[in-house]
Amino acid sequence: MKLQTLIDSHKVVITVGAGGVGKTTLAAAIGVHMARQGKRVMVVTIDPAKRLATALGIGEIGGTARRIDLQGHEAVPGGFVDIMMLDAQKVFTDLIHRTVTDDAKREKILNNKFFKLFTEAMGGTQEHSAVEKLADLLEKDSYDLIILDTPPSRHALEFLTSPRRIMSLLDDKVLRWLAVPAGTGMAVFSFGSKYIGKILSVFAGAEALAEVSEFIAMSLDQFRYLRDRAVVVDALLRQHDTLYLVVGSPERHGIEGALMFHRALTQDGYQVGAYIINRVRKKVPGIPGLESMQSLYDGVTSRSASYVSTLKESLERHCRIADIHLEKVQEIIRATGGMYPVFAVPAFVEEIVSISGVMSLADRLFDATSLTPAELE
Amino acid sequence: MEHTGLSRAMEQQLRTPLLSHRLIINIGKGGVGKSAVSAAMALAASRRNMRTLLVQIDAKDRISEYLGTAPVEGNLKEYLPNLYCVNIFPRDAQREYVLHRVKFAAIYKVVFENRLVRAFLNGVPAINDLMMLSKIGHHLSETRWGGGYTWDLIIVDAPPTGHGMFFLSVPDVIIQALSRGPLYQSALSMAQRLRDPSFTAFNLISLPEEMPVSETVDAYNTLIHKLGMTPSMLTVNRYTPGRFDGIEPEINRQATANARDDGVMASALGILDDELQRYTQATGHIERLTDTLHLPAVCIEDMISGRFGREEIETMAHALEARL
Repeated sequence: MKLQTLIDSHKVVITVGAGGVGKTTLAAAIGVHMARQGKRVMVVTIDPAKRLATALGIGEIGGTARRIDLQGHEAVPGGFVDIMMLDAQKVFTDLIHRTVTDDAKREKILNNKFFKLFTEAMGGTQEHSAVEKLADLLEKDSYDLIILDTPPSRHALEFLTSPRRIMSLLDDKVLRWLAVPAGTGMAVFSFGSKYIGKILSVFAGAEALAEVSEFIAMSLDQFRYLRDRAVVVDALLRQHDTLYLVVGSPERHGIEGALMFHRALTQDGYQVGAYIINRVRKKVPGIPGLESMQSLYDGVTSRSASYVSTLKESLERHCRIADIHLEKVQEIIRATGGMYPVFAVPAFVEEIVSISGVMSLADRLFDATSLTPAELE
Repeated sequence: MEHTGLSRAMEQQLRTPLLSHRLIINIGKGGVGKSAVSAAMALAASRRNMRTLLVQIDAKDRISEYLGTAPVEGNLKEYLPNLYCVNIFPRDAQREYVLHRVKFAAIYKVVFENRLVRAFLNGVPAINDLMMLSKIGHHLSETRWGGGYTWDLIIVDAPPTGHGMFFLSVPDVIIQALSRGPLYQSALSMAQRLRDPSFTAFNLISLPEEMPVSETVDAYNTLIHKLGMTPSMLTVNRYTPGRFDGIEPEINRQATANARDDGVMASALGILDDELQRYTQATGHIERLTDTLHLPAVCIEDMISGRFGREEIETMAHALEARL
C-alpha cells in the first residue's frame, strides 16, 4: 500500500509523535506532495526549524498563512499549499477582536490580568489554540486537505483532549458559577458558593478572584463560542475523514514512544491510520576485505592505514545501526499485529533546508510501500 | 579538523562548581536525552556522598529503565544508595500544597475536589505548574533531624523546552496576576531561588542538529533576557569531537573513483562519505552553539544501542564526572 491512497480519502491529516522525530518536516512534505497532485492544502505547523521555515518561505511570518512556491513542480494544475505557524496568543486575541464589538468592553477584556494569564498559559501549551485554529479553518472551507502538526506537549495527547477539557471548563454551569456577580465591598465576587470562594481567596487573594469573576462575566459569550467550537472540533477529530499518522524514529525510545501514542489514541477512541518510521538506515550489500580497501587508498594517500581503519569502523557502526533499525521496524509490526501500514522513510544525509529537499523527502515517503511482516522475515 | 568554539567551551571552567548548587535544572528539547543526562548526573552526585533527589515533572518514567530500578512513582523513595527519585504529578502536588496550609483534609475535599473547581484548575495550566514547582520548593526547604538540609542536591528533569520555558516563567506569571496570598508568596520565593545563580544551575542539553541547536539558543536567550535566570553549562549529547580528525572527504572521493564497478566497495566508501558529511554538519551546528552561548561545555559520545539502560548511563555519568 502507498501513503497516497490513504491520504486521498481523508480531509484532515494529523501527525502525532514525540519531539524530534521529524513530524513538522513530514507534515510539510505531505502538504507539498498533495498540492503537486492538485489538492488545495493547508499545513498548520508548530515552530519549524529556522532553516526549513526560511526554505518554505515562512521565516518571518507567525500566525498568517503563506503560500509555498512549488517552483513549477505541480503535476496536476489547481493545487497549492499554504503553511502557517500556530501563534497561540494571536489566536485568542483574534478571537476577542472578532467576537467583541463593543470597543470599551473589548479593551477591558484584553487588559484583564486573568485574560493575560489565560493566554500566556495557553501559549505555553498551544493545545487549545490549535483547536480554535482548526475550527476556524474548517469553517472557511477553502482547503481540500488540512494537515495538522501536533504541538509538543508533556502528554502524548494533550492536544486531542483539549476540546473536551475546554468543554468541561466552559460548561455553562461552571461558567455561571464562576461569574455570579455579588454585592459590594469584600464580596464583589461570590465565586460560586461563599464558602468555596472564601477558601480560594485565602490562597489567591480576593482581588485576584474578583478579577477572574469579572473576566468570566465579561467574556461569557466568547467562552460559549469557544466551547461550541470545541464541540465541533472534538466531533471532527473522531470522524473517519481524519487520518492519524503516528511518526516514530528507529532510534533509542522512538518505537516505544510511537506505540505509546498509539495506545493513547486508541484508548481515547481515535483510529490510527498508519505508522511512518523516519530516518531508517539501510543495510549495505556487503563488507569488502581489508586488503582491497587498502589498495584503493594506497594510490591516493600515504596514510591509507588510517583511512582503512576509519572506514572499517564507520562500516561496522553503520551495520550495527542498520540492524537495530530493522529490529525496531520489525518490533512495531509485531507489536501492532501487522494490522497497520508501516512506511519506512530512508535516512537522508543532507539536512532538509530547501523546498527541493522537502520535495525529495516527499518522493521517498510517497514512494515507500508499506511493509508487511512477511517482507521483513 | 579545528574545534575552536567547542574546544574553548570544553576547557572553560564553571563559575560555580555544578554540585555546589542546591538545585540543578536540566533543560532541553524533547528527544535530546534530558532524562538520561539527569539520571547520569544524579548517579554521579549520589556517588560523591550527596543525598540527591532526582525529580521528574509529570512525565512518563524513564529513569527506572536508565538506572535499572523499580518504577519511579509519585511517592518519594530511595532507589540507589543516596539516590532518591520522585515523579511529581499535578494532582498530588495540588493536594500536598493545600494540605500543608489548611491542615484539614475535609476542606481539601470540599473545595478542591469540587467538580467545578476541578474543571477550572484543569483548564488553567499555570496553577498546576506552580503547585509542582512549589513541591520542589518544599523539598528544598526540608531539614534533617539534627540540622542541615534533607537534600544536598535536587536535580530536575524539566519538561521539554517550549513547555519547559513556560514552566519556569510560571512564578512570574502568578506574581503578575496576583498581589497577595499563599500562591503569590510561593511564586515569589520560587522566583527568587530560580534567579539566584549560586542556588540554581541551569544545564542546557542539546544535540548536534539544527533544530535542537536553534531551540537551545532560544532557551538560552529566554532564560537570560526574559526570565533573568543564569544558564551555567551546556551538555552536547551524542557527539564525539575529533572523531574524523585527519580524514579528508576528497581522499575518500578519489578512492571511490578507484572502486569503479565494484558495487560492494563503492557502497562501503559511500557510507564513510555519508558519515563524514553528517559529522561535518554536526560540527557546524555545535560550533554555532558554542560560539553563541559562551558556556562551559561537555560532550557525551553517541552510543549505539537498541536498549538504553544502566550501562549507557554509566558511560554518560563518566563523561559528566569531569564537569561536576
